[in-house]
Amino acid sequence: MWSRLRSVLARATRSSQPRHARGIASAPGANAQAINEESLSRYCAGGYHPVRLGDTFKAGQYRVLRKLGYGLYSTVWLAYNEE
Amino acid sequence: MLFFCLISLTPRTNQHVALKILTADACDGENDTFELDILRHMQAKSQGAGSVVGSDKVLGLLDEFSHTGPNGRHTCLVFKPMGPDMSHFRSLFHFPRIPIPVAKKVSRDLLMSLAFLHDHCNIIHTGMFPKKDYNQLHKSI
Repeated sequence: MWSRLRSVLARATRSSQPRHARGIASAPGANAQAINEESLSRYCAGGYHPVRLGDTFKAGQYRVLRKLGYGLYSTVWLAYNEE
Repeated sequence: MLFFCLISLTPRTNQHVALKILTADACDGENDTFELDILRHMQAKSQGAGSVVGSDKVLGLLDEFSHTGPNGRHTCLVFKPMGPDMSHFRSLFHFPRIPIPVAKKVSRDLLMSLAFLHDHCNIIHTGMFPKKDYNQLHKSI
């Protein structure tokens, strides 16, 4: 009887947890969308400049906030003009 | 312009800019796109041309500078941040199809900007398509 009660309780707590908390067992990539970004191989000599959020440009005048997009010959970032 | 802008939920001020960092080979290199030269030319032409039709419909350069990093020297261009491009804008409507009054306004603005480029700046745009056509952000967004 106790083992039956334990299994019922275990089932109940499992179903009350959100799907993502159950771990890898729930279908991975079920809601995943492929995100297109610029190719990593173009981060090479002559290619894209590696940018991190918070980087500053032009002697600290422009501070990078987030990425806006990319193209074949550029990456575009939302920045804040500190002046 | 090859960049792709999205409407952000953060409040916009006049101090937010779009910073476009070109690849090192795109400035005076083997893949030079002459973007800076063209933008400088447009800027020179639009100064004192406030009354020319379409001069306010093209995305002007706010600032430009050079940045040296591990991959070389990069030209950096600063623009006003824009809203969604036309293909994304269209997906926001039902069907999805842009309503006729909006399409008329967009077409008119597009033709005015092209007229400015052709007639005033002597520039031919060889790559017009919806992904390159941006809507201006309103201050309230």
